[in-house]
Amino acid sequence: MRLTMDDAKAIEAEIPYLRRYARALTGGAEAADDLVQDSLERAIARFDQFRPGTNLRAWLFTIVHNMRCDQHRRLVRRPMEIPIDDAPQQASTRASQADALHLADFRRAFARLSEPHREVLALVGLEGLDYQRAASILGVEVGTVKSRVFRARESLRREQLLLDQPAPRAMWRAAA
Amino acid sequence: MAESIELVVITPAEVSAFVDGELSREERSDVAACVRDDERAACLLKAWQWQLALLYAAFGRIVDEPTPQRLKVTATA
Repeated sequence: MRLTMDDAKAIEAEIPYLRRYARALTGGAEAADDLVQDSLERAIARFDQFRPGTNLRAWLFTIVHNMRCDQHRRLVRRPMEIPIDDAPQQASTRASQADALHLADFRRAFARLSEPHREVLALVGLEGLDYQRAASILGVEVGTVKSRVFRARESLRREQLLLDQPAPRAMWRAAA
Repeated sequence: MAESIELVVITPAEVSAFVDGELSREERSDVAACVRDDERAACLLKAWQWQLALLYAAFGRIVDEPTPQRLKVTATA
């Protein structure tokens, strides 16, 4: 597939959003960029399938989603990396210690969600897409997106509460 | 004479859709009214708005990072 300068520029302008979406899915910066790289290769190879005038970002998100599904189908599945690495810390250097702790707990809780739950929260909550758009990217009904976002929020809340639990007091008492 | 009381019932799923701006005008005002009157609904809304804020704090700024060299796209035509 031949890619014009304008096409290349248009795709490149979407890369920051693809990287963010991929980071939310995979957790790790390396794994996320691997996913973006694979997706870009596929997007460029199939760019003739993109209909000009339609939403390029949504088309690229669809490819990332499909790429991720393909990866899952393969034998070895990399587990979500629990991100305690580089980038997140950069983002919170200016935040207070308490905020950083909140954020670290949140990342851990988010990483423990199922992939469909991370995916839908990333598209709707992070990328700000409406249910209709998210549904077409994920290849599901709008009603499915609605209930999936809701269930994702509930699971995330449960994970957050689990992480908020202090060390079990009974054990402290027993030791004292 | 009994006064007629309008009872508005909303589900947590509607609060979730409210957070995402996916409700009709009428549904929105139902949720807003419930949140005003019901502490549990208010808590739920607050918790989910807080989640969104954390989600953005955790990942939002990745879009400001420069694109790594290996992801640069070059024209072939």
